[in-house]
Amino acid sequence: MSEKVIDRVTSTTGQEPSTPSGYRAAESQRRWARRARRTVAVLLPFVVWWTLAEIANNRLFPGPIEVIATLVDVTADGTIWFHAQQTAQRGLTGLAIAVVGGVFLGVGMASVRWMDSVLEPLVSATYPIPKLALFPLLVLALGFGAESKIVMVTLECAYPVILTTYAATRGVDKHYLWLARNVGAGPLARFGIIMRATSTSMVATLRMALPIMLVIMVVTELISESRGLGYLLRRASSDFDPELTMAVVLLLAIVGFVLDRLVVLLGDFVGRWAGKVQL
Amino acid sequence: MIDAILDRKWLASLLFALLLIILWQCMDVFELLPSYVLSPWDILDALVATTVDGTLPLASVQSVLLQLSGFAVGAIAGVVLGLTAGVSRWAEDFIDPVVSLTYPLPKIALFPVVVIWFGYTDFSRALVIATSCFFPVFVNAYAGTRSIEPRLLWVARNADAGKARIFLQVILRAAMPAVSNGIRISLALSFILTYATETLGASAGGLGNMIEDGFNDLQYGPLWAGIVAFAILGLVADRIWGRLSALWTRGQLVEAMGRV
Amino acid sequence: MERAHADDLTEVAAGLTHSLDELSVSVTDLTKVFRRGNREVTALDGVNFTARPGEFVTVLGPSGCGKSTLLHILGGFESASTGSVEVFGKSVTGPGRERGMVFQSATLFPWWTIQRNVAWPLEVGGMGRKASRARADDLLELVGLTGFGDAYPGELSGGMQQRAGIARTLSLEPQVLLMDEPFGALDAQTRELMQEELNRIWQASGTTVVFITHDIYEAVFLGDRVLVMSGRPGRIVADISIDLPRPRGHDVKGSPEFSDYHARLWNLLRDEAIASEFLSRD
Ligand SMILES: Nc1ncnc2c1ncn2[C@@H]1O[C@H](COP(=O)(O)OP(=O)(O)OP(=O)(O)O)[C@@H](O)[C@H]1O
Ligand SMILES: [Mg+2]
Repeated sequence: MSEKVIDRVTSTTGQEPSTPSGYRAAESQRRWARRARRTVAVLLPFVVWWTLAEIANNRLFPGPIEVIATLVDVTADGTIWFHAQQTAQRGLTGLAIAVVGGVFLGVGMASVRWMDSVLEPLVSATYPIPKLALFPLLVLALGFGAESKIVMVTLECAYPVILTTYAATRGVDKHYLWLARNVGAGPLARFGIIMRATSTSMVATLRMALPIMLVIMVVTELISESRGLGYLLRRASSDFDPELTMAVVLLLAIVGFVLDRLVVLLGDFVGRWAGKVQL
Repeated sequence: MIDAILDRKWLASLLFALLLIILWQCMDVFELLPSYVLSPWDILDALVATTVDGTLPLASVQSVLLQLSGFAVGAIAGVVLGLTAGVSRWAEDFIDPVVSLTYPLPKIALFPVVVIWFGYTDFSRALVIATSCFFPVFVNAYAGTRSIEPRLLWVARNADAGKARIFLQVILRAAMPAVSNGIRISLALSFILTYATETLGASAGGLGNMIEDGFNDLQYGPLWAGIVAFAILGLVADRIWGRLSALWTRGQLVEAMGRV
Repeated sequence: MERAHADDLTEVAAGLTHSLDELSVSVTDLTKVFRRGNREVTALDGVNFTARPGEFVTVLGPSGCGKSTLLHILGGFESASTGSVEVFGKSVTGPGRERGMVFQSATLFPWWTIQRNVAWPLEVGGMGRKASRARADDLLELVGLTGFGDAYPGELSGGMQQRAGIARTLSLEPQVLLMDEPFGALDAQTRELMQEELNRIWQASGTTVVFITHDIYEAVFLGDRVLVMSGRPGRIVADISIDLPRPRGHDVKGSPEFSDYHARLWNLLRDEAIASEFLSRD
C-alpha cells in the first residue's frame, strides 16, 4: 500500500511546523496544490478526449470542440429549445405530482395507523420492482403523448419521496407534536410542524428524485416520441450524427447539473427556514 | 379483531393486496377491464404458457446475464474508486470533481452515442448499465469512508495497527453499511436500465424485447409475463442482497436499530 | 578501550539515577494552538506537570479549558505546538501501545463482538487468535462482563460498553492509562460502582493513570493527586495531594477529610470558572 493511500483518514494531525507563519505558508501551499489537482482533474478528460479524437480522426468520433460548436449552433437556431422545453415541462410536472402526492402519503402513513399497517409494507415491498417495465401498459392506456410519460415519472419518483417522508416524519421529535396539541393547535398547524421538521430531508429526497426524473424522461422519449431531448438523441443517433448526439448529451449534463445546484440552493433556503443548514 | 390485524403490519397489507387482486379478478368477470389489462388469472396462465414453451426462461436468462455483467462491472468499479477517494486526498482530488460534474447526467443518454460506435449489441448495453451502476455505489462508498468516526481510527492507532490492517479491519468495515446501500440502489437501477436498453433497437432478446414484441404484436400474454418476470427478478435480487449484507453488517445493524 | 569503558560506566550510572527517580509522565511548558484558517485558539498555555510510576493523577478544570487536548497530546493523537511531552523518558511523537487511551464514549468497533473487540489489540500485537481470545475473556472477567463476550456492542448498555472499552485498553497492558471522562455519560449508581472497580483494577495493575473528570467527588475519590486547570487557555493552577488511606471504599466519601478536599477544590474551581467567564466576555 502506497504512502499516500489512507493518509486522509489515518493522520488526523499532520506534522505541524511550530511557527505560525511557517504553518500558514504550508497551509496555503496545500490549498493551492489541491485546487490545481482539482482543476487538472476536470480538464484532463477533455484533453484526453480531444487528443483521442485528433488521433482517431474519424467522423464517428468528434472532439470536444466540434461537439460544443454543434451545441452552440442548435441552441442559436432554436431547434433544441423546443425539445428541451418539452422534456422539462413533462418531467417537472411528473416530479411535482410525485413530490406533493408522496409527501401526503408519507406523512399519512407515518401518522395514521391503518395507513401505516396497510400501505407501508406494500410500498416497501414494491420499491425494488422496476416500474419502468409498466411503460408499455401506460402507453396502451394513455397513448404516446405527454400523459404516459408524466405518469411514468410520477410512479418512479414517488417511491423515494414516500419512503423518506415516512422515515422523516416518524423521526420528528414527539415533543413538538405534544407541545402543539397542548397549546391547542389544529391538524393543519401540526402538519406545518411536521413540514418544518422534515423539510431538510424532503429537499434531500428531491435531490434523489431529480436524476430519476431525467432518466425516465430520456428513456421514455427514446422509446416512443416525436419531441423532447430523448427523441432528438434517438434521431441524431440513427442519422449517424455523433456531433448532435453528443451535443444533446452535453446539454442533458448541463441541465442535470443546473437543476441539482438549484435544489442545493433550495436546500440552503429551506434549511434557514427550518432552523438548520444542511444537505 | 381489526386492531389485531392492524398490529401485524404484514398481515394487514397482505390482506389489502389480496383484496385488490380479488377486486381486479371481479372486474374481469364483469368485463370492466380494457383488453390489454389481463386478469390475475390470465396473467398466471400467460406465465405458465410462456414458461412451458421456453420463451420466458430463455428471455429471463438473457436479461439476467446482461444485467449481472453490467451491474458487476459498475459496482466493483464504484466500490474500488469510492474507497480509494475516501481514503486518499490525492485520489479524491482527481476523482471527486469529475464524478460530481457527471453525476446528474442521466447515463442512459449515453446509449445512443455508444450505439453509434458499437451498434445495438449487448456490449453497448452492458457498458451503459455499468456506467449507471457505478455512480450510486461510488457516492455511497466515498461518503461511507469519509464519515467514519475518527475516534475508531484513534483506537486502531493506539493499538499500533498497520495501514493495511486499518484499511481492511476498520475502514472497510465501517464503510460497509453505506457500500451495501449503494449497491442496493444500483441493483434496482440495473434492472431499469436492462429493460430500457433491451427495448431500444431491434433483436435484443431478453425480457425487455419480449415485452416490446408483445406490445407491438398486441400479444398481451407475453407482455404481462415479461413485466411480472421483471418484477420478480427485481424483488428477489433485492431480497438476496438484503440478506447477504445483513450478514456482514450485523453488529452495525444492531447499533442502528437494536437487537436483530 | 578505556574511554569506551568509562562511557559504559556513565551510562550505567545514568541508567541507575534514571530508574531511581524515573518519571512516568513529564510535561514541560506545553502549549497548543489550534489554527483554523486565520483563526487561532490557544487551548493550552504553558502546562507543566509530572507523574511518578503507578501514580493516579486526576485532572479537574472548567469546560473547554483544554483537558481533552492535553490527553490527546499525551496519547500522541495530536501534536504539541511547543514544549515537550515525555513518557518514561521517551519523547511522545505518535500513538503507542504503552499509552492506552479510554474515551468518554466506549468507541468499540460495532461490527465485532465484545470478545473480538477486546482481543483485537492483542491480535494486532501478534498474539494468536486463540490465546488472544482467552486473554480477552480474562479481561472481561476483570471488568465484570463474563458471559457477554458474544454480544455485539450495540446490545450492551452504556456502562457495559464503557467497561468493555476499558478492558480493551487494558489488553494493551499500558504503562500509562489515559482516561478522558470515562464515566461522564453514566448514571450516578453505575458511576460509583465503576469508580470502585477502577480503583481495584488500578491497584492490581500498578499502571500510571491520568484521569480527566468534571466531578470533584470522583477526582478526590480516585486520585493520589488532583491537578486543577485554569479556564482557557489551560494552565495548571493547583496540584493537590490527596492523603486519604488506600484502599478506599465507598465510606471514604463520608469522612471529614474528604469534605475538606472537596471544599478546597470547589472554591478553586469556582474562582477559575468566574475568571474564565470574565475573560470570555470581552
Ligand atoms: N480540532 C480543534 N480545532 C480548533 N479548536 C479546537 C480543536 N479541538 C479543541 N479545540 C478548542 O480547544 C479548546 C479546548 O478543548 P478541549 O476539548 O480540550 O476542552 P475540554 O477541557 O476537554 O472541555 P470539556 O470539559 O468540555 O470536555 C476548546 O476551546 C476547543 O474549542
Ligand atoms: Mg473534553
